[in-house]
Amino acid sequence: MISFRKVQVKTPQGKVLVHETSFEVPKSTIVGLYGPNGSGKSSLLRTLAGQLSERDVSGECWIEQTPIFQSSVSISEKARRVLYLGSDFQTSFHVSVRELLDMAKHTNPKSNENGTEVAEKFGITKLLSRSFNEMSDGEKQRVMLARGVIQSPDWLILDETFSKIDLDHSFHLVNELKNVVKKGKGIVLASHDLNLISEFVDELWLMKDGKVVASGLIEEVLTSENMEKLYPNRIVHVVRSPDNGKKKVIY
Amino acid sequence: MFEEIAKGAERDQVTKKITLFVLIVAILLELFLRIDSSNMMLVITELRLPRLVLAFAVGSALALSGLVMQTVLNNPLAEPYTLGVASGAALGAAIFKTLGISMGFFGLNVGAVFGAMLVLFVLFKIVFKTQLRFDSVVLLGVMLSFNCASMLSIWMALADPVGVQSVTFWLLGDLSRVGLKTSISLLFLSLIFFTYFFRFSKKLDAFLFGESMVEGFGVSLKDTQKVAVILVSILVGFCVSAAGMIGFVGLMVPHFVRKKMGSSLHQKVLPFVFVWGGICLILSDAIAHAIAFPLELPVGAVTSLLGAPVFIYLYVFQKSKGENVA
Amino acid sequence: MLGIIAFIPSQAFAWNRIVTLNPMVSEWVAEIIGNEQAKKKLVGASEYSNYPEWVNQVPTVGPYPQIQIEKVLSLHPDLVIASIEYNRPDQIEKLKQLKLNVITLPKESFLEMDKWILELGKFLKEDQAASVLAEDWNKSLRELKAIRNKKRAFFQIQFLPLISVGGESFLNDSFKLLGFENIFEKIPQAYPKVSREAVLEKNPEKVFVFEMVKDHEDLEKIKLAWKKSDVQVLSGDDFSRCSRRLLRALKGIK
Repeated sequence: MISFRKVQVKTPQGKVLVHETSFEVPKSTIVGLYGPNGSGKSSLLRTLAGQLSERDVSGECWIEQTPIFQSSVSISEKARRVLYLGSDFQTSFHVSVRELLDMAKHTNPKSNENGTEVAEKFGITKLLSRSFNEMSDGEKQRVMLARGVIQSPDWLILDETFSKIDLDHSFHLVNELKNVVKKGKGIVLASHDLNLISEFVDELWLMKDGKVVASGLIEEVLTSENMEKLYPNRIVHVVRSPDNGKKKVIY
Repeated sequence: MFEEIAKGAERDQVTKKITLFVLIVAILLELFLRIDSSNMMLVITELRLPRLVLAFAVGSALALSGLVMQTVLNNPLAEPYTLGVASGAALGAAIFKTLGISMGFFGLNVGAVFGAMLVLFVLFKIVFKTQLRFDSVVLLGVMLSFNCASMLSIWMALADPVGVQSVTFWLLGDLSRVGLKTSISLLFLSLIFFTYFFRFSKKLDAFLFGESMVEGFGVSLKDTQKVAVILVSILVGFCVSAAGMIGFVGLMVPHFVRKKMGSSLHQKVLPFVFVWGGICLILSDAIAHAIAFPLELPVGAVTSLLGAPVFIYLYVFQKSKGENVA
Repeated sequence: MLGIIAFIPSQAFAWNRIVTLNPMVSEWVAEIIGNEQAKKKLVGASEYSNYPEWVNQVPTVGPYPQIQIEKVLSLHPDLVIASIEYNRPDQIEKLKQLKLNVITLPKESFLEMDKWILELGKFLKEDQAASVLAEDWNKSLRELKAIRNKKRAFFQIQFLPLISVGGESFLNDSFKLLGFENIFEKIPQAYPKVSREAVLEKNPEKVFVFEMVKDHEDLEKIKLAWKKSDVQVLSGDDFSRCSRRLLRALKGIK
């Protein structure tokens, strides 16, 4: 369970990045986060993951009974509760994919995930001996997702981590992640691809100008009215997919 | 998967053997190259041996420091010399010495440690505030280095005008100035720090993907950086105090070890960095001593001569790869 | 009989393998024990020991700021002569640690060179020769003493970078004796780096140049640089050691 209580995020200069907000998200939920650029998504996600550097954060954040904002909690403890993954990864050093996955396992030795199996499921087995910085952006993202699963924190925060992954892989990975969630984990995913989100998530939050303007089940939240709120100058249609009846957007 | 591991272990064995072989050759060269047979035992025990021990101690320490700095700053071009830490140490030592503050460790001036720490502190502050890209960090380091070197020159001009030899010592390195006792104690220090870093290999590994990913691996960014800075300052400080500024060992050795081992994991890389750092400096010293006999070339000049082109190559190579690491 | 006994011991204890660690000492050793003896006994000298001519053939032990200790050892000296002013204390110490017989001479003072000569002579066991030379030195000092009016002078050791003579150099004292007041006497260094403005400001009446000046054109350039016509070019070598060579050279100053 994530418990956000009256959290507000400001820059040291006083500009508000995320207006005061409170929410609770139970385990085994996948939450989607969507909004225009600059709406505060990354700030919210980073704060959620305890990455507070250079920001003024007020309020409390509890993830599975661990107070994330308190400095008395050890970093290794926090890493077992929540892991933040962005979209761009790089290293100046020679690190193989296998080594990265080992590092993940080492971070959380109690993780039940088996590296080889996860690699298999995520289709990166043939990438294992490759050097991380030799891979394409899409491959890097897939590898990082696999790493996230192996590290097995209670909550995975994915900040546009699917941005460079192609359609085929995306669908495949989404399903794998759903399996992970069934085991009692949680995911918060931010993406510019609403259609991917709608395939994936249980709940949807919409953000604009640092505020969460709508939240709830995706059925209820993904509406033309809400799209209009986010993009007053653009027409966005919300329709149903002929395949599985999930809501999709057309623009 | 298993063939990979087996191949890796085999490769490691070969590397170990090569390392041992080169180490022995280096030791023999340092002890016996250009030696006068009429005085051999005396020269070896009184003159060559202290240099050998010091060369290994300083070389291994600088290589270690270079590796740790590269990791913690996420910059393959970082090392005590290029980041101005060595210059800061020299300045610190010179100031303390002139002011008569002689507290130290086996005759090594602790002012060097403070100087090193100050530079690292300034460096981190600036990097932190401005989120510099990797090449900018190196540029900053070079500027800090120049700054300290010029302050050192000014200090020398005002406070120690007859110190021509001192300036050469500080700026170009000299392994013949301290005795065996000090050399051995520095060797122990280097060994102890190696053991410490080795124990915390995993924590260092967390830095490999950049600062923003460190905590994701369960490692405290600030705490680890602080400890690394303090330890590196102590190590570099005492090295510079004993042997002046010797550059590029901390740059070349980690780079080549990582390349040869095909890995950056500290558990794998640290032992070889430690030993090869020692080997490099022993060889450089053997060359510096013998090549223009009876003129004694400064050992730092030899390492710079060999290392600067490597630095340039790495810099160009990194830029062309388009790596944008802060 | 007693005479013979007195004679033999002193010869028996004479040094046979001498190594000098800076050029000034090399010159004085040759002067004190005489060229013939010195040719046999001087087995090693620092770089730039070049006077008299034969000293160039003596094996070098490296430049005096950084003596090659191993080379010194390999020459098996029974006497090593260092100078506190020119040699590194830690190297002197190292040589002593290696059980070599090292004597360290104090800083030379132009006006009190006699004491220095006597001390070196004592170590070389050539007291008589030394006292003769010391007497001669003082006599030369008396002869050199100015009968001329005092002139303010600038001493140019090197143009780029500009290096002059300060109050701590024997050149300062020696030229002072001749009646030339060093415009930089107040600087407590031997060979300070100075600025051109400082020289022009101090407006010396005479300029002494200790560098190689190639030709007339070069000389004119120097005269222009210092806005002076009274420029005398001297051989740097003759004036760089506080030795008898210096005395002879000083006599040639107009």
